[in-house]
Amino acid sequence: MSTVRHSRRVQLVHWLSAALVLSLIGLGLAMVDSFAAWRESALTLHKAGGVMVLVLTVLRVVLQARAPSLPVPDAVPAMQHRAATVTHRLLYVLLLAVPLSGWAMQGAAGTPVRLLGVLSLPTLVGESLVAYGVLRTAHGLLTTALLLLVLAHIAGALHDGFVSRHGLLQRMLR
Amino acid sequence: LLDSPLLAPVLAAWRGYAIVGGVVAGLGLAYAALAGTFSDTLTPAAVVDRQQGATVHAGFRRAHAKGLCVEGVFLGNGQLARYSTADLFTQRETPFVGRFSIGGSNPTAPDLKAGVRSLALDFRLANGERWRTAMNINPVLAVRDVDTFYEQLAALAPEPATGRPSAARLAAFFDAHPESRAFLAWQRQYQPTGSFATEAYHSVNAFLLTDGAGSEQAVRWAAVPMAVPSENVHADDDALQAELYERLAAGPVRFDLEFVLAAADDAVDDPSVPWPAERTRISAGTIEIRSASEQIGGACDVINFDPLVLPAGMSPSRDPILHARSAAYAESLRRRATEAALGRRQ
Repeated sequence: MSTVRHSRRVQLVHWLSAALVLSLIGLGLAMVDSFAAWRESALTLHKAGGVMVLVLTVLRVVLQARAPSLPVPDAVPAMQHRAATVTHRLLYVLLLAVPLSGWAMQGAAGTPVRLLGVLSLPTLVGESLVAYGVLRTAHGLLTTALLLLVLAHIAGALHDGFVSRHGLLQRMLR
Repeated sequence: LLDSPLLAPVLAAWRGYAIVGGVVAGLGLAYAALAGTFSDTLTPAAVVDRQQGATVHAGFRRAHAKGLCVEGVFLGNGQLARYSTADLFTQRETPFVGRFSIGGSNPTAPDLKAGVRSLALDFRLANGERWRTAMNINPVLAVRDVDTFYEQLAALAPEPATGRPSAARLAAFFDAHPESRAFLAWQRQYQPTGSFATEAYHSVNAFLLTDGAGSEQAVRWAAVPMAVPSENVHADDDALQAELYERLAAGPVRFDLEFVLAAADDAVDDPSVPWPAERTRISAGTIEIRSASEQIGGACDVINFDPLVLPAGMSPSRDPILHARSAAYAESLRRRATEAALGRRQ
């Protein structure tokens, strides 16, 4: 079993993103068709959290580009390695696309995102019903894809940690 | 079989697989629960289903489907500035895009037969903030909570045979809900005028104004017409729209934006209860409508007149109907925008 591990920086960004993404998807699913009194607070949190995920993902791509990726143990089957690589790349794409679609759809609806009630984010898309329809639908579909990929990623990591035991899960924990 | 090369390693690792399967299934169930899969509480989607009725008019608002866009400016007079820090209440001009509409889900309904008329406005404040308000001719509602509103929608649903709501069912609904009395009293005395420009439009729900020192004042507001009522000479289904275009060709249509200040005991969180007539009224300025255009392709088409889109210096009351309006409007917008994107507007 390999003793290499991811750097603390990489681990911190990974687990922060994980906590945020899991919470934001849950918050989104719970608030979108709800009359609950906490709906508006949830929307505010959801928008602020989405911006944080976007920032963390950009940071992650930068960290990734600067540090060489860790070697994959020879014992890992080639198919599994390929599946993991594809999952990771798609995860990055969606971690950018989901918050961007959310941000853009607010511009299309004419309700620019304001963080902490003061900082207005620029609008990515001008006011348009058709653009809002496209972006709102995309935000929902992309989030569903992200949730499925996150579940696949978790299944893969747990499979590594508890079934095949190649030490890949340990790299993110140790 | 259990010793076969395929199954033996799986059985040896069953605990590992149980962990993988258990965690993933548990997360899946948790998200399904969060999405409301196992819950039967009332949702915005259910309310909008009842509002749109049996015939869906794709691409149109699920309520107040028929209307037209207007544009103009709000001329603040500065009198409300001591109650709210929102900068449109200082002495300045704030442009807006708005919409006159009639109630119901039919985008081609006859204007003069509608029981409800509305004026919605989206103010574009100098600092980039928006204030959206959707006002109705009725100053109060027949209900004070969302579950009862959902019942009211069922009572208002047209009978297949007559195309009109059942009088008996409506009467039974109102009998069961005494909070509807003030609304019914208003309805009995209401005389429709010949124009969108000569109705008074009310905020219905209450809001809070916040001044520079942070103290709050509960208010309702109304757009009070400056023009005097007149006959509508148009006989067709678009009589109100035709009249408005003609009127605007002759000059702007003006309303006084009047705020009513609540006293300590007034029902701030209950839109079915009127406030006493003697409450202090403050004119905040003049709403000056300068032009109108068709809603499809018009500047108001995209706007969801969500009453919770408020600038700093204004905040919502705890009225549950106010918060429910925001959630239901969002669902209506999602539906019609998706249909518009798919080119299904009809």
